[in-house]
Amino acid sequence: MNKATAFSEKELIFVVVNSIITKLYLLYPKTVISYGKSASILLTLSVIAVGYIFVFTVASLFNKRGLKLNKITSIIIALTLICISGLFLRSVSESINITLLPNISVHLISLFFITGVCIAVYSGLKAIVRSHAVIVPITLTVTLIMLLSNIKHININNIYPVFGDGISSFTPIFMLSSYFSDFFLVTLISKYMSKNTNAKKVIIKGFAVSSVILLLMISFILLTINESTIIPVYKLAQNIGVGSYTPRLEVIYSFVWFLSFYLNFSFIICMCNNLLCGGKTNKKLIIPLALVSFAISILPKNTNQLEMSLNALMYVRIAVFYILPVVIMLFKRRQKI
Amino acid sequence: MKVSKSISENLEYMKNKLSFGLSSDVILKEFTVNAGIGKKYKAFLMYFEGTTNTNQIDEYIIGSMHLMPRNAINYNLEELVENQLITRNQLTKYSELEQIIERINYGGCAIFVDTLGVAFVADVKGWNMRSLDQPVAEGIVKGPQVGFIETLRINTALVRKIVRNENLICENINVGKTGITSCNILYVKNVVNDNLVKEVRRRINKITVDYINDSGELEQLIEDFSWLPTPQILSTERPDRVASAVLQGKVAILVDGSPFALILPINAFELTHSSEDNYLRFPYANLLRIIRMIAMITSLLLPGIFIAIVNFHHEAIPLDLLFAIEATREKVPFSLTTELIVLEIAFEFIRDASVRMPSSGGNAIGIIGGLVVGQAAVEANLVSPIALIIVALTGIGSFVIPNYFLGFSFRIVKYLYIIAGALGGFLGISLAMFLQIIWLCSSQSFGIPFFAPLAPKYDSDPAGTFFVKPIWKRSGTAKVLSTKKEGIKNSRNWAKGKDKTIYQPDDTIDIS
Repeated sequence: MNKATAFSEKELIFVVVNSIITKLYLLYPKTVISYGKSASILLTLSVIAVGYIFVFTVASLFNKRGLKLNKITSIIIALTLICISGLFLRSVSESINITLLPNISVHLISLFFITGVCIAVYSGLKAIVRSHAVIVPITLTVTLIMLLSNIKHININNIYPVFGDGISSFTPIFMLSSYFSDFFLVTLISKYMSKNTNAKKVIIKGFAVSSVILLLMISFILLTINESTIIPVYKLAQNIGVGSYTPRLEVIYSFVWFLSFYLNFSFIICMCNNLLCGGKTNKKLIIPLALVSFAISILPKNTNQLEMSLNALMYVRIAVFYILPVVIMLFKRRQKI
Repeated sequence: MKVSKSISENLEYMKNKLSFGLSSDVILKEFTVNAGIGKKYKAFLMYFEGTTNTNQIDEYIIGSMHLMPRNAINYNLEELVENQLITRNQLTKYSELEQIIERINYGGCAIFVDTLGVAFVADVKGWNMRSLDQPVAEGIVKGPQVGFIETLRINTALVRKIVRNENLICENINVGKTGITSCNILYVKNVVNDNLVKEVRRRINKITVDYINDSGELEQLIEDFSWLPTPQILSTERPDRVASAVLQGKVAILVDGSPFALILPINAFELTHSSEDNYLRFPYANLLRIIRMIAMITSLLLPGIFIAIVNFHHEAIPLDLLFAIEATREKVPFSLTTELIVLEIAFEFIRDASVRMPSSGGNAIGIIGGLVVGQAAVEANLVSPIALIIVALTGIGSFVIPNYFLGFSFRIVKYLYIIAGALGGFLGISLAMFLQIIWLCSSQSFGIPFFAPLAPKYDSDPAGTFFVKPIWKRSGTAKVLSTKKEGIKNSRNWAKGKDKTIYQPDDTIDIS
């Protein structure tokens, strides 16, 4: 019966897939399309290719039981994650405020998430990871239904010219592929993996599934939505109609959207806690961490400042998640020699 | 204390312990026993009237003792008495007086004979019990129609009759310090994981309680998470359900005096299953499961979603419908949330009143509460018709839940969804849903994750998680239980191979 307490490969794959899905619900598709324009599908393919190289490099660092980080690296990663999660929280709250709950203030929406996250982290990492196995399949099914419902809106002319604006359409490849850096987090839960689970396989499989979803999402957004919109996925959901009694199904769709955020956010805060406390969840640190994250989320005064902060954080993210693994890898090789 | 060789000492002790004279149902009969030529020994027997069969005592105990051989030479009195009594009775010899009293408390008749350092206890249980009847809370159309009753031994016999396997163990454990209640742990010894049995035994042995009257009390004493609204042990009054559970490698507990057995460990999905799912053809069973799922979602989420849509997400419903809802609520003095909570509480009144009233009165309560009061409340503009419809649908949905106790948890959690919907619309509802999933995922039932086989992922249970497989595709045991022996995979071997049939009606005709 002890076998049941370790995480299986599937559960961990769901964790990495959810980390990508949550980004697709927000500004990521808009960023891809605004850079790539009609070449967005090709740009996405390039991002996947670069992402694969990064993911494969990171995965090669892992042995079967994952990768052990030293204290300094752990603290750097934890602080970056807290900053990212704070701004991410604000970004999500702003989006919800604009689209679904204009009568509720942005900070109150953030508080809803913080409450959920605190309680979830108190329940423990196992509960959070296992919840992924329940919620992510529902999210994927709903996403697939949403995409299928949009088939009738496809306009194939949107892909022309195939190469968009030429080279300038492909310049942000590295920046966009840095979103796959969340895969790095899987290494931190390696000690909970069951004996049969291989961390490397989890990352490669998770990447494959996420890439398919990313490609499908970008393709559908490019082919169906012409006008510029803040949250393209929300627009896709608005296209679903199933008769006169549910004219706008995006409200129902928002359920899975929220659930994915709760999961991802809880996972990140739980990971930060583990990183700062040497691999164990310190319950006393949960509320302070959540509050720090909340404080970061209320720092930007408006959406412009939020966008600037997110851009600045992008470079930090690239530095931490691209350069750090390479440094660790080189350090490991030198040690072997 | 040991049984004394002096009968007067034993008599005094027993009279004192059983409060003879004060307690009106204690029966003491003193007599003499003839053994050997001219030898007479004083003897007495004690029992509780009402818990024993007095005819058996008179005929087979006192009668047998009077017929002791009077001409025996070189005899052993203890053997003589034992041989005389054993022919017609389940007889046990004890030398400890406490053990004897314990047996008397449970329908035994103690026989003391002078000069013997032991006493005999005959099992002559004979209390009245109700006859076997249909289960009250788990009625089904197809399948066995018998339920447990309050007598432990009858209940174990009902299970043994179905299992028909010598490896079925009915292990006795007594619970309670002041009032002792017999409990039986049932398991199939060559299937069940030994650690599971050890864990059940450990938990029951570690209970400190004065007395228990029902399996419901034992359930609360051994469950993992008392604060979780969802039950983590399955209570059933169906012997067939217990039989299939023990054959799958689970453990069942029967408590004397309770018509409900406890099955453990379970997962959250088993609470949504009915034993009828196994007896019906799988398309029918799946239809029932889909209906149940919709009913469960309705009973849990409908009021919360309704509040969320009307208060926050108007765009989800057509404008005409929204106006119609608002028009019916125009004269209602309460907010939608207050209205729904008050109506839900009123519905709980009706439900509880109809359960406690006699069946004829229960129907009247339903009519008065549902139709008369409901109609009057709408006409008085105290509630809106749409709110009444929502509450009625929620109530009907909760009646479809096959497990009565899971229904209770839904009734509690529903209010959290109402409050969450009122506070933050779908954001609030998704928060409540997220927390519910997290709590369920963090729970266990005797070491087994409560959301298995979904999270963590395991091969499906024999009964299926959401849907029922055809019976020939099911296996006997669930992998998550780590049973000693894996159940065989069902198969229709007749449908395999070349000779699929040996019976083919001759449909050729002679055209010549």
